[in-house]
Amino acid sequence: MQGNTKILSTDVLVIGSEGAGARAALEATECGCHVTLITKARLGKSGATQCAPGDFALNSNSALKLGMDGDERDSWELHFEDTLEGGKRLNDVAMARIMTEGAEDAMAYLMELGVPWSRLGFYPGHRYPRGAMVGTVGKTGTSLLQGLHKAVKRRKITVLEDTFAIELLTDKGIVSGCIVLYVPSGELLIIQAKVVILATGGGSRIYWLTSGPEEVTGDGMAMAFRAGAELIDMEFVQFSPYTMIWPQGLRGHQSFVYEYFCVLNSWLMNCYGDRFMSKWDSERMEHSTRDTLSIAMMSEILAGNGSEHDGVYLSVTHLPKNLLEHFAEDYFPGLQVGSFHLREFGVDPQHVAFEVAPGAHFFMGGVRVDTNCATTLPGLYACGEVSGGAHGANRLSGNALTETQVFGAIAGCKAAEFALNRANTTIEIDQNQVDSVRERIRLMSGSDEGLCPFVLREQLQQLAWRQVGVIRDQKGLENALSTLKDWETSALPRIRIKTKTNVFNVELVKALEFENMLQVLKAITISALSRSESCGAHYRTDSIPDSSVPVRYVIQRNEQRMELSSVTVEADIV
Amino acid sequence: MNKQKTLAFQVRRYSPCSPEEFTFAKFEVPYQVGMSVMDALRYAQENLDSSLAFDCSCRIGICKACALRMDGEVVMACSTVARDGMRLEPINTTNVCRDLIVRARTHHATVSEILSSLSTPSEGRN
Repeated sequence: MQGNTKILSTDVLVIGSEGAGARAALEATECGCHVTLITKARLGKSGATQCAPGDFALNSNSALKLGMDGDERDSWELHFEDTLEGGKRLNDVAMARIMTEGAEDAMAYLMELGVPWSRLGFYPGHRYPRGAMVGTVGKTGTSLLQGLHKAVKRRKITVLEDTFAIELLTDKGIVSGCIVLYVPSGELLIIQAKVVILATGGGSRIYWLTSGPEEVTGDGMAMAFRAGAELIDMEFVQFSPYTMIWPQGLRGHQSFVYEYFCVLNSWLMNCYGDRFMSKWDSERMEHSTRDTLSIAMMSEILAGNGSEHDGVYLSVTHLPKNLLEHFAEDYFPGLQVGSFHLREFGVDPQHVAFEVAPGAHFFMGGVRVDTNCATTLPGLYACGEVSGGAHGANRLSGNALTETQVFGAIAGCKAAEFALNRANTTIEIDQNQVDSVRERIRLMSGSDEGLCPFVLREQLQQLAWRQVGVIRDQKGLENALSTLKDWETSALPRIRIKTKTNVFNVELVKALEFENMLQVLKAITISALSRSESCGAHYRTDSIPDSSVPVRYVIQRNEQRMELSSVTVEADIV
Repeated sequence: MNKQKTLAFQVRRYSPCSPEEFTFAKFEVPYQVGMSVMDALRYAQENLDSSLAFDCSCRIGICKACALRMDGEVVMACSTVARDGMRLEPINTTNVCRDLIVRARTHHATVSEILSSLSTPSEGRN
């Protein structure tokens, strides 16, 4: 990997190509900018948006106006109010307002692109049906992306797939592009840009059990942090209790688990056959809220009362055979879920319990942005799950897709303005930054004995899941933090890649991701240590009631250290 | 020692820098009930040969990034149960980049190709 690094110039560089990124790219193009859209995987075959089985949230009255079966009593103000309530009022109020108020226009735009919305679902936390969906379960995310990607391909947008963003470039304190690894050839490439938009998604894969895809490793958050941008609300990670943990081939699945869990009168049991939900919510039992279910399940797992494969048992075997057959016929004919034949994987709901556990589902926190999606670093914008603020301490169902579209459009527009204002500026590449990336890769590629990135990745995921996951306490968090610091100094420099070819060096990508995962997990851990009182998705067994003015935690780089500060929460004025 | 059941399989491997055109690599991994083709590949990559390359994204049958041929039949690695003795090959053998990774012919192989395609007015982007 020697020689001069080639340069590609563009007005707006968008990193991340799915829900938020594609939307931002379209908007910036419409504002008259040349856009380059890069993804470390492939368009429409990556990211968390495609996995969204559920819904796009907009107030029921807007849905009615747009031709869906909505309810005219609803308004964006009520959606806004529910969003704040769900977020335990730690939301960035202005962002929550923009998101809920902007949902109708965002939906109208998607309709123009041909996304065939068909029905409206009623989900917990919302006082009216607000969850717009496309066709059958599991089609919403993919349909939304098909609409966006068709439009991206019609525009003169430069799309680079298999392109991994390594480090943001700055020129006189302004973000001016990115050093990327072009994975098909293993070459480094400099993408010089007047402005950069991060739309890299969250970091659910930092956790061992997750519903998120392979790619969501917190790259954008880590890269922004290293460049000097602030992160916010990092302690708030949402978990879903409906996550399959065993059999191995179904790990991470949620769709059919959710139906068995919630539609039927299912039983959750520990290894002694106790229905442990009676200790947590004796009234609602298995139909309790997602956070209570997650906490209860993880408590059993951590206490050693879990199932054979570190989950808990979810059983419907107490229900009559013909009822279960009828249910399966209605929901999953032939016990087939998409391309998965459940029986082939050894699943038999009539006789055997599922093994389930809480899986990481969504990052409420992320790169701190203002209402223009501008980060604290000039020239850097962020939208979608990579950014933090709109959801507060917990996210309501459907608001994730809404966030990608509302803020994708804003980021695209505001970044385009920034780029046009900088049109006549000549950007200088900081050769030192390029050299240091090259050196980092060279060191990892040495043939000496060292640590395997795949092994480190799994160790980190386990640490995150067990100690910085659903259930937290001071001791566990301090322990995790000291392990992470130790890995930073002793493991990172010893990563070695055995792959000899530069062509699709997947191992190198995993090594680069590991560093990102490590930094993001450290930010989560530090923020979680500071918040001593349980709140929303952040649950501590040693919670101490805190009556002082509520604050939100901010993480920023100071030299080589991660520094924490806090900001007060704004009053919620509609 | 505990005698654990194992699952043996072969993967068609290709690297542009290796002298031979392609080889079949044999792997043997611990067998688990309900293990997918993807689980077998992941075990091999994480524990036996970290240079093994394949695509994987959602693991729940949506993205189709992991499509490959198992004993000649096109399947998704994530939603197909692993079989002892299976032979895994790329979805097609004309556009293989490495091991099981396949990209369309229009997909640029090098940075120079990208840059030259961008400077031509009638760009044929993938």
